[in-house]
Amino acid sequence: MATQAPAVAGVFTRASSGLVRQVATRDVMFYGVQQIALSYIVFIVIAWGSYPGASMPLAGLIATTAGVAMGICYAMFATLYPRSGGEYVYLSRTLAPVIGFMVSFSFALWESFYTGINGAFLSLYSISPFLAAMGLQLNSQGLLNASTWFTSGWGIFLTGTICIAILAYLQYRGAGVYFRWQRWASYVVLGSIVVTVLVLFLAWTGALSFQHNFDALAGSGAYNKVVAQGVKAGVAPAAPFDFSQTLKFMIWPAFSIWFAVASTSFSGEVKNVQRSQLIGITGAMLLMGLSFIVLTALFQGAFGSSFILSASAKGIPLNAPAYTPLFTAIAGGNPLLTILMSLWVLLIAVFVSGTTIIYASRASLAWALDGVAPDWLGRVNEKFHSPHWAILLWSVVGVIFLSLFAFTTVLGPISGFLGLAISFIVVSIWAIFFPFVRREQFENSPIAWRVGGFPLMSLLGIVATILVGYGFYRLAIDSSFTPNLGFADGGAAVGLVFAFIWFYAFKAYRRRQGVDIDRRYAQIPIE
Amino acid sequence: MRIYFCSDIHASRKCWKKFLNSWKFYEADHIIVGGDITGKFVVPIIKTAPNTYTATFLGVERKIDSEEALEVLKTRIADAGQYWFITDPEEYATYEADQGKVDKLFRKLVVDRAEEWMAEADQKLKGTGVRCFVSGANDDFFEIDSVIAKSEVIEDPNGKVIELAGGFELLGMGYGNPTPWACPRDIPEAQLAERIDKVAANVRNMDRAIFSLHVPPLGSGLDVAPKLDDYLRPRVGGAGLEMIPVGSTATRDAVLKYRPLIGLHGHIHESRGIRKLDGVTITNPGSEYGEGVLDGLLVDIDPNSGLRRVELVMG
Repeated sequence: MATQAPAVAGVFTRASSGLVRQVATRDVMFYGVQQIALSYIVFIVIAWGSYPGASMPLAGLIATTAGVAMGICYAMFATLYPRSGGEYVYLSRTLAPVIGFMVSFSFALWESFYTGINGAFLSLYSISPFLAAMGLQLNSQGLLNASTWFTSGWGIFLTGTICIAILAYLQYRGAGVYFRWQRWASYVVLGSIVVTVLVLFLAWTGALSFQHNFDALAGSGAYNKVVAQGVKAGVAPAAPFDFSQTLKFMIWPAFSIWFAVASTSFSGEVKNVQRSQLIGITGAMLLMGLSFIVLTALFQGAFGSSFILSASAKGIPLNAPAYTPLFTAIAGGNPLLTILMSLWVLLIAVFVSGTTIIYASRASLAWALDGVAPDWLGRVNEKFHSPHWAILLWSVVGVIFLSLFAFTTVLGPISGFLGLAISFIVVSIWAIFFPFVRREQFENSPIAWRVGGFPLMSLLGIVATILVGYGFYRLAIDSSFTPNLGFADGGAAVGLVFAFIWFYAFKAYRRRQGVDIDRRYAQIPIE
Repeated sequence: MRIYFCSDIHASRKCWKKFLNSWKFYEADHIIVGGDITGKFVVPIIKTAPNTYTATFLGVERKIDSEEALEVLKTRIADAGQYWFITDPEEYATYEADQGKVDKLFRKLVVDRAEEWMAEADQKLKGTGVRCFVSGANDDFFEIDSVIAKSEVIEDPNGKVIELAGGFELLGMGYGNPTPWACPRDIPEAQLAERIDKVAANVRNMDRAIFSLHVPPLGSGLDVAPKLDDYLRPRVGGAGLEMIPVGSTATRDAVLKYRPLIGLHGHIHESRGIRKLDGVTITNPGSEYGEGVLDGLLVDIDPNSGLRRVELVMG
């Protein structure tokens, strides 16, 4: 028998099988990059006016800090339970099965809601503004008409459905195929963001003139007229810096950046979960958090804070919506630059729907394996090793939400973020107590790190709970963030209640089949 | 009749203790470990001063400053399926420079733990009526066979057919097809097929035969593992990680030829599942021994109607 010593510093190993797992640190990070959906910085900039005195870059920094603390907690739990299914797996095993299921169900439900909504937003806030910018720059009525079509019900529905169908097909072909597409899209996204930053920097320094280019398209003095309208309406100039408003505004970037933690849903498919999730989650948050900070600072410098506030409140004298991608295109003043700078907005808007399908399909796969969902949701395609029925189910649910958004006004005022944020707060709080309540499991794990004798997981849990807890609270009461608070809060509660009933109904159903669900979660006693 | 089957527990103290209690927990009358009961890592605990030790365990450097803490660390190492041994910096340096010495250390620690386990099984299972089967498989040194043989309650089905209640029979085979690691019981497919055929000739009724063949059938879906390069690293291609079937043709041929009641397999930790191979139910409970989780299978068999239910469980 051959031996080797030491393969790991201070540890001897011998030749034996099964010492390998899968790979993908960069793909975990790119998943986070797409899930964060920086494209929706469009809304965040528009919402800025509702928080007078708020600093967008500082809000981004606070959100990123909170996100990293929480993200490391997620990565640590994923290290303990390196299986697909995300928080369902570790909460059901370490806290309580029903809580794990409720949190996971809520997240999966609202992720699928956003599968549809993101499909709609691709059309509304990515393709349409891009075509509008191109139409204006090329003086093409055809492109402007196309831009308008993409805001129509059928435009939204068809675009979103095609997007979801393609993403579902790629995922059906297996994680390897999907992540390869996501990887190349992410490289293009990062390159496109760099081009955007360079153009905005030039506009900020005066080498490129946004005001001049805007006036050239909208008429002489148009820029000043927009600002004057804002001043008259009382939304401009920007109010002096206000930290409390910055904190309140923090939830806007937070509820993009924090979603990188959803990568723990496919932990069973990546190699070296500890490294992949730690680097992947924090890397995505830091990269996109930094992008947010830089972009918002440059937006203000390049376009002028007063212009942004005025345009967001009163609109612009162009046949196009007052969105930052349009302003960036105008600042560049060149159709080729417009294409290059639109790529990140377009590609993220496409792939964010893919990230939501991955989360929901992996969560439901884990439920099915435990017997709390139909068995067919747990079936994995033999050829491509993908949970094909789960992918199909959540894609169809996403298209249903998409059609409701496209053809009715039912979903207009709903925000699904509260239903998603339940996971953030539960995991953050549990991270504080886990090393003490499950002391043996914590100590007997590769994440038994301590700072000054205190578990690092608990320390991060405390930081995350304070900041995420504040975000959760603001989310529940901030009517600027969610127009119809009662409906949104009620929706989150209904999701939880439904999950509770589902869990116990399935438990009873399995008992009739002679299967004791509790056995799936219970550990065999060792003494 | 209810069988509880698990495999690949790789020296995890916690998994072994769970296994010994599994019959009560799952109300099983037969419990089986399908091989690979020995571990792959030794953690040297280096004594640097009186009551002061240091060790690297699961990638985290542990500093120990009391005998009580030392006992806790030993237990944790054993729970994770690893072996500990106390040494000092000078002796540790001699191991680093001597492959043969490390090899000898492994064999001693493997046998020591197997002996502890057998004694524990005798104490816990004697007089309970439960039948317990444990065998070595491709990762296990041959020395453990004689350790298992000394147990008063454990039966080793490796290379034989053992009669169970109701006319059912258990056929065991711990040998496996070649792996990149050249493990102790890796043999060529032709030899493996020959060994299976030889044992299968002793089965009286294939409809009531339970095949515990460590390596799953090739291409069965229970044998998917990452493809490795020349340095035993997973290969990543344009479409991501390259996964390939690594099961055995000999096992596959045996299942297709003899069509037993059920095939119980292990070996590939990541390929947990229940499948059909030309109508024959085949299974792999997977393994997460490193986390102290005992992945297993419950097989309910009716003496009259045969296989009733097969369920994956996680303990």
